[in-house]
Amino acid sequence: MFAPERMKRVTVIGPSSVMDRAVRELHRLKAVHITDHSKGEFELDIGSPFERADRLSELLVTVRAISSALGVSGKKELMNGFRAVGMKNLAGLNKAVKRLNSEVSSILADAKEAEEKLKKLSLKKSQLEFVQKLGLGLDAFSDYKSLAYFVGTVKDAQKLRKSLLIATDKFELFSAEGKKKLGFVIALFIDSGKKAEAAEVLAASGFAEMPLADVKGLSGPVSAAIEAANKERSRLERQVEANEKLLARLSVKWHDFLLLSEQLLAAELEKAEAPLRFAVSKSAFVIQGWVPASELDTLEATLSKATGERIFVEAEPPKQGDTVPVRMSNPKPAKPFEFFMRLYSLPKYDEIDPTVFTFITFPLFFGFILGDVGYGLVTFFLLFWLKEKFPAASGLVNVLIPASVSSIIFGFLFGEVFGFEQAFGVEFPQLISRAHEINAMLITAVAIGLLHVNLGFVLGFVNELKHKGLFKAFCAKLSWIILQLGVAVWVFWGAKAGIAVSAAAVALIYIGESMRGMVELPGLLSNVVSYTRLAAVGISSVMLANVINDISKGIAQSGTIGIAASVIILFIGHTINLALGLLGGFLQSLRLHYVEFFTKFFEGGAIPFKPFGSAQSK
Amino acid sequence: MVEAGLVAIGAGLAIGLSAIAAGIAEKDIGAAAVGAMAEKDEAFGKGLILTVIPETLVIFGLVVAILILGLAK
Repeated sequence: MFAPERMKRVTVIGPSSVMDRAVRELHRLKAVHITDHSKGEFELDIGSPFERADRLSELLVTVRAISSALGVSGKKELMNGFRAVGMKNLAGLNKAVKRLNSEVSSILADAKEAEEKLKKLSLKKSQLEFVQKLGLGLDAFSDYKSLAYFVGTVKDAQKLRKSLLIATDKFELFSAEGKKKLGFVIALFIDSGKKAEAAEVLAASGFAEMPLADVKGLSGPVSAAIEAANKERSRLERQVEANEKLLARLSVKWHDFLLLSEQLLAAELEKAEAPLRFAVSKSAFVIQGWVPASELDTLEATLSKATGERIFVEAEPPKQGDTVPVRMSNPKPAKPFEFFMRLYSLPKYDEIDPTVFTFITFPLFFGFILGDVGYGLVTFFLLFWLKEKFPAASGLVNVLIPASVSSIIFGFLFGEVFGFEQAFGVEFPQLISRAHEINAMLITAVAIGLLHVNLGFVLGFVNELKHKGLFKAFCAKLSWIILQLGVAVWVFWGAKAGIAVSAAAVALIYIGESMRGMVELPGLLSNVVSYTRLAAVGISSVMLANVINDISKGIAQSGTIGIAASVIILFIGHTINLALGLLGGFLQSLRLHYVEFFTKFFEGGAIPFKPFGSAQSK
Repeated sequence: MVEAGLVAIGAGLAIGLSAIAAGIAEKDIGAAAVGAMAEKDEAFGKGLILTVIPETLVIFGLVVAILILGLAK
């Protein structure tokens, strides 16, 4: 309960002929955290993946590509291996995936082609409309012997005509007003001998050419061509739509198949590539790893049964200095609070797992800060709604539910409902009034801080005891408690005795933690005073609630509209205050654990236990 | 008897200045923490703790403010 689950170092040795069998069983059991073999250790090479790995990874890539093309995503529980996707074996699945892939890629190719055609068509249409605006026929733009032409836009067609006239009068200029910013659309037909000069004049008047590549060579009336283009476009658009529908239908039809196949293949691939983590010789393999002590017997029995007793399993307890993977083991009600450890750092194998303590103190702190029956109840129901709506956030929600219950309980102690301490002339019974007895609240908070910090020192003592022995551990941790006693004696008894005790404690701390301890001496005071936040953040929340209540009370006295406005103010104000209170209550309580409490004993930094075959091991 | 107005100003300064100090300290830590998190998601826990460490300054400011307010009585 106060320590991570006990582990055994396990070594599995067997002949190569049963390796596949052993891998399958290990994957099914999900009990062994495999440590990767590094080349050179016992002069053995790492294994090579099973032959099927290539085909599996190719197939997995295909399935993922199809899934992304069809927009299939999500999660689905995988059971029954290949039967889950309606297949007998890998070959069957391979065939089905290949068939689906060719279907999907032909639709995709079709869709791509249609889209390209559409793009070209819209270009053509804009050119046709350009010609139409000029009032010319399509056959005007063929290749001439003695005639050159320019088509495009200019700012001012009249000006252009004038400047052209200076050079020559052998030209014809068609122009029409274009869209607002474009100025004029023009088509200039000119003697090919004057082409260069015309180009100069055009450039001077801000000419921008309109390429007519898609229109050249067409004949007949422009309007007919535009109509044809429109028809073609709606045909293509229908085709695109039909393709989209096809893909959508496929995506619905194959949704589960794709999700399950992806998982199945990923699992199969993991098995096929597992030998990369083993040590192998020509005819044998060695798997090293960790297994929870409670699952060792099952592991041995299963492996020997599956391989006809041709496998050897050896287990030994971890040695000092081993990096043991850690799986936390806590009673069920405290389990959600492992969330805080995962957020911070996993406790080392030979270290106290503080989850149980967090389970007790976190809700207490949270309730002390957000102690209000009204806010507590709203939070409580809000959390259940959140749990239903967003199962992904359940880690956080499960931690906050006990906290909100504690909030309600503290609300009764403080006699507060939405900041009100009385309603309709009846005062709520209360143990202490947060709004009026600020000093008492601060002192209570400091007292809680002293208890919490010293609990941390005691836990630190227990941790150090394992490595450093009684005296060193005592000096490093318990002498801090003596220091506090010394200060207390100083204040309540007399300076002489107090200073003597404190000085002795400081000397012990120096022995225990050397210079680091000296640097942290003033930190002890700031750590304890830091707990005043328990009172301070709570009081500020009460004050804010009071302000909201007072404002709305004032407004409510001015008629019907006033009452409506005051209800709105109450609602918005308390919503904001609750949001602030939740954030503050959560972060401040968490911080007191992480910064003030954990630093007294906790090291952390363990690697998580990821058994081969489980979802986390990928 | 100290003037009530001066006491109020003193209390306000105590909390206001300490809040500014905490803000300046947290700004840099927060930016660095977000940077670390972008590189490594697991840094969230540590980043959160480092970011809220200067928060204690405001709490000290508040305690001092309350003590100062006590002078007015």
